[in-house]
Amino acid sequence: MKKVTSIFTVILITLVLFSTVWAAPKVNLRYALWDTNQLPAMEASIKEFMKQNPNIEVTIELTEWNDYWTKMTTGVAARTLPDVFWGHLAYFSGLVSKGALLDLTPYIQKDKLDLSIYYQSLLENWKYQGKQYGIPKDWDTICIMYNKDAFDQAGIPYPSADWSWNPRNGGEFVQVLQKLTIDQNGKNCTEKGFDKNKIVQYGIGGLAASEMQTGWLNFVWMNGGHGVLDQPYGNKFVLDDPKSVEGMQFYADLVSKYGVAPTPELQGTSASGWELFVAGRVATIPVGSWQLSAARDNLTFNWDVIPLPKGPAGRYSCFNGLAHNIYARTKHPEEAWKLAKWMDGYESQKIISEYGVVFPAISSLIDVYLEATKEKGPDNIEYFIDATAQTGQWPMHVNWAQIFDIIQREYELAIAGEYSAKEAVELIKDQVGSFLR
Amino acid sequence: MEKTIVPMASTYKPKSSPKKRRQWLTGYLMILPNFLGFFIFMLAPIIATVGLGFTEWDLVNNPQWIGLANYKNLFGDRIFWLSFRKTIWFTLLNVPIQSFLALLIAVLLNRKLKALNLFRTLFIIPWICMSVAVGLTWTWLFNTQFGYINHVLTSLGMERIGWLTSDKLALYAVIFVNVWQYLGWHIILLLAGLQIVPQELYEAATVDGANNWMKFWKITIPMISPIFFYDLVVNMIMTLQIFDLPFAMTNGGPGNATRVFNLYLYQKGFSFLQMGEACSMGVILFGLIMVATFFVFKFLGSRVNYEM
Amino acid sequence: MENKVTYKRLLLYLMIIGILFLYLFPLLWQLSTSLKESDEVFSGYNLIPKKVTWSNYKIAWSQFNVKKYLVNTIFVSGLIMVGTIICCSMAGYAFGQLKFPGRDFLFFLYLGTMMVPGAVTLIPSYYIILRLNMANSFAGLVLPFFFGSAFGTFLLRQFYMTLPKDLYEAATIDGAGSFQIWLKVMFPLSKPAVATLGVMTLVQHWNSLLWPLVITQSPSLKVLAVGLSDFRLFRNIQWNSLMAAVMIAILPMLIILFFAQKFFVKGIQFSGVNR
Repeated sequence: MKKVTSIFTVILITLVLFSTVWAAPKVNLRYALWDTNQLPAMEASIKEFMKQNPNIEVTIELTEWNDYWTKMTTGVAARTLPDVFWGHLAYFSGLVSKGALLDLTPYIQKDKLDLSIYYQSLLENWKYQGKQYGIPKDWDTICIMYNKDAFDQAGIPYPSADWSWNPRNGGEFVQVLQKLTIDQNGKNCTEKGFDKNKIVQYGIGGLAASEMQTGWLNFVWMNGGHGVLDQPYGNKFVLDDPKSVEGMQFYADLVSKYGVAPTPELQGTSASGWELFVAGRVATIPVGSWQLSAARDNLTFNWDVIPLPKGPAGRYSCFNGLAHNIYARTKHPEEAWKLAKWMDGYESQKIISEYGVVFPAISSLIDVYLEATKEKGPDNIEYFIDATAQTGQWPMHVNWAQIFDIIQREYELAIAGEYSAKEAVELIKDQVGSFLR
Repeated sequence: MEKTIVPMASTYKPKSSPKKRRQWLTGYLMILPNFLGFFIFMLAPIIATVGLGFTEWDLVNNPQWIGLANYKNLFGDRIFWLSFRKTIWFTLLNVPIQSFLALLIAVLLNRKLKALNLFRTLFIIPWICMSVAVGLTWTWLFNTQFGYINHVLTSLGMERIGWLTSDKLALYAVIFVNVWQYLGWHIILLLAGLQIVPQELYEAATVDGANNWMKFWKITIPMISPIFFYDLVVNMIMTLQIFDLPFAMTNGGPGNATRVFNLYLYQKGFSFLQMGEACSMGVILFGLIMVATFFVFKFLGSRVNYEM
Repeated sequence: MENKVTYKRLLLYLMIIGILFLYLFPLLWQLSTSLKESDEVFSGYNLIPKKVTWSNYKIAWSQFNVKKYLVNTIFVSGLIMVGTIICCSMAGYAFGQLKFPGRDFLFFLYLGTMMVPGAVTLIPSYYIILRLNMANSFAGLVLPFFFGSAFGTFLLRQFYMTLPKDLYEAATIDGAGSFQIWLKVMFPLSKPAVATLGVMTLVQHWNSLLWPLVITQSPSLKVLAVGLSDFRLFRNIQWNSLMAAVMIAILPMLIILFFAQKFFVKGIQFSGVNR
């Protein structure tokens, strides 16, 4: 008998060891986000929320952007999605189609939420097949950030707001970048004796296939291209029109033909472009307005922002905004709704605006943001707000994860100069067909 | 060094008595936990994978039987064949280079060295490091602008090379790191094989006036051929399943340059939730391993010298 | 004559040390980068940092969350190691020393699955864990491996078979049952084999990536391999802090390697010869 007991003891201990994660007295909500820069602001707001709702405990889970959507996809299947999480326009419809998002429409009606305080275009974006899945949290546009000291050292004036580019010879934009691409003897890349193997500073950084929002999609629009799909949730692939391809080729040329930008390293990252900018190794970088707080905290040189250079079809900036989504199978829908409502509500957006990290989706709060960051700059922050004049939208599709993976992989090699943008787009078109249904 | 032998337990002859029966019971009970794990997480999944390969399944909804459609889709998928070719090419390059290099170093180490234990330990270091960690270290070394390798090249007056950013080079760079990482493992294994080669054979050859090179080809190679052959087979099976390094270093990129079979399988399953197709890919990989092993045994196995 | 021999010996040693230096250079460079200040990372190519700083380790430890990952990894791989040792020892003993119907058949079943690639069992295993409601939990990380592996059972079976039969007979005469013989006599004797299995299991699961990658969602559950693989996705890579994180991840295994070198060697020889 003794031996049997011993064996069962072993098995029992095993089982006990496994029965760890059980039972919590308070309602515990998991809250997921991807941006380190916004973390302190979110924490501050959530702290206030927990003070007002002592029965709710919120655990914050930070996952980096590139991994975030893989995790969310598996989370749908594993039923381990966080209760409340940051949503993105490109991906939320994919989650909706898997039944993973809670329809907020009845909750909004029940609480008679006043939605007129939000930018209406942002609000519309979060509708899918007539149902509201998110209340706007913020919005963002794209500009170019530049190192003033690098311009001073190169002896060239700061760029003017109406600088421009064209796909034939690059125009003023490329001329400026060439003068900022400097080797270790101090020669720039237009001068004789320039050593392209000993470059200490590039004109521009952060160019990569993964950088669609801050990067190449803007150049597609500015060249007169339409974008990736014919319409939101459209099933027609239109990136292959000559204007789009030309824009993509120009963006790739900055790396492979003009040599004014470093080759992107590592799939799915921005060439550690930001790190190079902080280290003074690249003189300019296209950034989204959400990156301003990181700039204020980390940059040790003088800097400012300037709009993207005008293209043949004018100037376009990607205009995007986030929202909080709720997991459809959450165990605590009421509490999750309470949290999402709070996070996107006036009080919370005010707290967040005071941190000066993102432009609030509630139009009247922009002044709070501007007031909070007045001292810290940048001087020309209004360029980000002006950029809303002519904007394009992030492509939306239920299979966006698959489509973007294909685009990114093929275009990446065009940027590295392995083949042309035209060839890349043809390869993309070949593969995306089966996902556009 | 000792060589582990594989004796089979003597055949069981049933003869039941209460004492025997008690031994049966104890035997079953002692196997039980291990067998349970084996059954639930090995045997049952193997069978399930074969079945699920015939279904369309996204883990959210129930699997739908679709017959051979997954296999048909895969065989018509450009990326499937690409990942298939990349994996074969990876294996064809990695296995011979790694195993031969390991053999050379093992021969170098195979003498009475005071510091042999230390050397052996040092050679295993990369193997015990996690692939993700050394993968990151190598991406830093391979970095185009600031990596150490390109620093050496430029100081020799050569041009920078985009090791991990070039479609043509990235796969070789990852193979190189893989050879590096598991080299020590193969050295240890082959060293054990070398140490059982009788010293007298070399002494006799020396008397006959053979030089080192001849001794290597005429004595070392034939004598360790069984173990070396085994090393090749094990190496092949492991390399066909490569995942960690390409995942950590390039995530299959740039483009599709290092998108090996298991990486595509992982993405199909866990990024795109095409579990049915991922299962069929698992079955295909298993088939590939079986076929490859069969051919290696057929064409190389017959040349191995088993008389020792 | 004497001189010539010493000279050749010296040459041999120099050659091996040279090879080793090249071989281990990537790790030395990693150590060097982890000790450099940010300015020096992008400018100096000297192996010895001009100014040694430990702040990268501090950043990795707290800001990069490596502390949490390390604790998780120790917990998960430690638990798997303990479970594997117990379960494989018992099974190995039963296969090697006891007699019961179906024993050899079961054992061949074990051997037959050792060539099956992990990709084959991945998805159904994942589904089982989902159904058990263990996705995104420590239990899900540990359970599939806790009961040991076919390899471990095989290794210990081979060991138990080398023990003389008289040992078992003698203990039976003293009136001990089969289980007690294992517990009191055989298991203590199997220390070297158990240590070999222990270190091999520990290294395997310390470094394992794929399973934790698919099973965990919350950052608070991540193990080192998964946590580190996230860094490659970071928008701003700080190479010096990243290399510090890498150092922290591999250091425990390095320490164990230097203390348990001979068990690693044995483990490799066994898995190579018997796989």
